[in-house]
Amino acid sequence: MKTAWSAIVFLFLAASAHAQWLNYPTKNAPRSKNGKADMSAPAPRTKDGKVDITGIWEPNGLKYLISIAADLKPDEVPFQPWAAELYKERRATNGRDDPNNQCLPSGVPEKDAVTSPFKIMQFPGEMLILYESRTIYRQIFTDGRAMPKDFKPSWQGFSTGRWDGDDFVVETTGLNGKIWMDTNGHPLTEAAHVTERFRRHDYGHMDIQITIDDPKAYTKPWTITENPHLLADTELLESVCEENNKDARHIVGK
Amino acid sequence: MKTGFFRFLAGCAVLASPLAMWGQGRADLTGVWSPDEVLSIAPRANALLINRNAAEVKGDPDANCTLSGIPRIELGPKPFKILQSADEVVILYQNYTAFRQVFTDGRALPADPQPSWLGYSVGKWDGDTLVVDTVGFNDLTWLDNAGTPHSEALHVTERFHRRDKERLDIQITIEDPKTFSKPFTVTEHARLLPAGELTEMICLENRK
Repeated sequence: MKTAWSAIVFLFLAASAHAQWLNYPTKNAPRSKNGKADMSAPAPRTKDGKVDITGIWEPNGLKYLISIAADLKPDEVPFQPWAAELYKERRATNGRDDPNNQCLPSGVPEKDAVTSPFKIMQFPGEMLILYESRTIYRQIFTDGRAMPKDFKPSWQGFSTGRWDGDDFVVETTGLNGKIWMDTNGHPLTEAAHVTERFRRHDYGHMDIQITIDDPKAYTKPWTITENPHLLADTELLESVCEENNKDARHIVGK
Repeated sequence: MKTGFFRFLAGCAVLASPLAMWGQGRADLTGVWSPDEVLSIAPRANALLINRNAAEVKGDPDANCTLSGIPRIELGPKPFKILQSADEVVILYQNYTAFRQVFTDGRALPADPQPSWLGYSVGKWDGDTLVVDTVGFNDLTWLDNAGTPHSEALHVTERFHRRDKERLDIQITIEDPKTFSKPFTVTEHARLLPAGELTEMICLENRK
């Protein structure tokens, strides 16, 4: 188990500690008297009155990266029998075959739990997420477009977003079936439909409610909630997994 | 074609005209752009080369699936997408599904940057042209597919100019006194893909 944990830390926290602009003040941040960003100030809103979810966010620790079902009891994950067997095998082999070990990308929804900062930006027609881990981006289209007919299934799939009250709701399909939803290895097939509800409570806190609807791997849809926090006065670093992936050959599993 | 173009632009009123301005008189560079050809820097670079560093003889760094540096990642043939906000310009590359942030909020380039693959970029507007300065590179990348080398002293200046609705010119100036006897400039030409979109491209999955 120790090997698997060190691999997690290496693969997801490998960004350089000396990069620049790490202490650059965030524009328009509400400030406490001590000058720090006031994380309990009200959530900002955009000109059209929607909650503004932009900013640099980071998951609270490794919890959901290790298990997306961390808040559920073991029997509350509605596995199909084959998926339960696969999960058991992945646990027994200490995550040896996790695609992340080879520097393949985290898929949806594991990305929400990877313990590196991610930056949400809003543009006309799309919400954009820049992930420090892997220096990779994800586009969430809000212009009403449908998935192209020739869309090739991928790690991040095809995502569209809409507002439901103060929630930004993202629907994703077109996933490639290779995704591990966490390092424990909860599987996700190409039949998956993932719904993420981004709900910013106040300046510094957000919930991401994730519903997994994947009838091939699970007997019914199931939902969990993650809780990233805002990082003020900083900027993303560059992180290139392939630059120094010396761990892969040490991940022997068992 | 026309329908697709306007569908792509749905919600992007600022893009309605070729010379549309973004906010405070800034030109609008937004869109998915496809380089006309794979640009080679070597013809201009070779005559000025004073130091052929180790990067070249180690083989193509892209074979390791580490990020191509600037400018190689944008020299083609894969498209890239430009998005603009008030404080930064973001360039999304189909190559590597990698992004690059160009800060236009007035911050200075870092004085002693930790070497990185894509460097650190700030931009300012010179009329309708976005001028991007980038420093802080490692010396592990090639400038182009031909293997043109560079050192950590590399300073790239890119002038992004939207000539008309469908045409983007990027004038790229390479300054690296440890590698070249003087700065030199090449110009990349790209064309708008009006209804185009980037697709996910993971280097490890395409490695041959």
